[in-house]
Amino acid sequence: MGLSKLDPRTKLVWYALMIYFSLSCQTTVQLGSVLLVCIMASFILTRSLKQYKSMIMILVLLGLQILIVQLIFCREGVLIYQWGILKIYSEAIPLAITGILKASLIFFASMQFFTSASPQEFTLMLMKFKVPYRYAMLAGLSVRFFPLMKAEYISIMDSQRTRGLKMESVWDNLKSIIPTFLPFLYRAVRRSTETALAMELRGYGRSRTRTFSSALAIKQYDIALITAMLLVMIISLTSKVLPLI
Amino acid sequence: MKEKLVRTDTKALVGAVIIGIVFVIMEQVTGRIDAVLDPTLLLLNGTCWAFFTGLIVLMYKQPAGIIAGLVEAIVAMATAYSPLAFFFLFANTIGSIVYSLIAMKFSMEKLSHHILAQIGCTVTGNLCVMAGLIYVIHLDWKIALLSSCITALVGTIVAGILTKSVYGSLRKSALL
Repeated sequence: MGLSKLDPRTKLVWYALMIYFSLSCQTTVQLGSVLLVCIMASFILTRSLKQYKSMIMILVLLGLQILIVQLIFCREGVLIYQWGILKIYSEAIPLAITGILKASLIFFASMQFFTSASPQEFTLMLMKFKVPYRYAMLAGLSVRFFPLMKAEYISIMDSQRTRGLKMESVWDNLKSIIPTFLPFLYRAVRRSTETALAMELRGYGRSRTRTFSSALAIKQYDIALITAMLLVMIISLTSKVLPLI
Repeated sequence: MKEKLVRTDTKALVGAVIIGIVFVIMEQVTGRIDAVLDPTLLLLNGTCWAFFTGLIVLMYKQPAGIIAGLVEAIVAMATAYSPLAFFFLFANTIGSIVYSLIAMKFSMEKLSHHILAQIGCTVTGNLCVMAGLIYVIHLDWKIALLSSCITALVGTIVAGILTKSVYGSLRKSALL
């Protein structure tokens, strides 16, 4: 059974389960195990982890950011190093590792969920949740417009550069925000007006319902998987809440 | 009163998505600059967030503000743009709703109106981010509170001025 065979609702519950674990687990072992399960599930269902190759560099940068924050601000444990006002405590590294694992799990689960289904499947899923199609179709619209708007921003940056706007250092980039952002915003507003007009002329929003070329039908194994995942979540929640009562 | 809060025409819905994408791109640009200049405070990023949240609400009202905020948060989660991306879902939604609730009470023609609306928006939004700083990055609550307060303060003032100026010029340009 491939990942594409699963219903988007099953993937959504899986995603919710992973987010729940990432926020509720407190130890490195727990978080590491959940992350491993998440990676294994992806590998079993897709037979490849190639799509996640790009995230390694991003995660290294993200990890570095969390580590710096912990080294500067952590005040738990015993003082192990002091240099001027900079104080490094023994708990900084374990807390940074936990933070990195939590962030990695949230990121991995998000990437897994958002790359596992097509924009149309997300639209159909939202419609199954009784979201009117005028709103549900915006999921597909955002996926289609993202590369277009990115290309538009790059073309504005290029045209400003040819007009002599310097963009070499961080300070130059900071100064170039306003001259590149304002034309970008105005172009985006104009484009949204034109797109809305074009969509209305094609009948968008004219009737309450509309048809689609495919439909979502939940299968037996989807129901079984959703039930199992919800049970895990309920049991975990109960075990956390009961001792408090 | 309802006209000042809700707008559900196609232009507002499509505008929410497209300006939401502009929001995402600008957040990523300012995020990279912040990572070099002030990785712990994210002042530019916070200001950019407050500015877009306010501008979208003023331009297209609700639910456009929520839609644009969700677009930004979902893309941030899928691209690992920040370890706190999951909390942006709540920050963007609540911040946007609070901004519209305050903005509907005023004419939004004076700078003080924009600043007041931004106070509500940045305080609630940064509270959600503060929860993220405590739960995900395990920062001490006092440091998380201090960081959120500084970001909210800078965001309120700078984004308030920027929102007034850009919204005014957009109205004059008849693009809305």
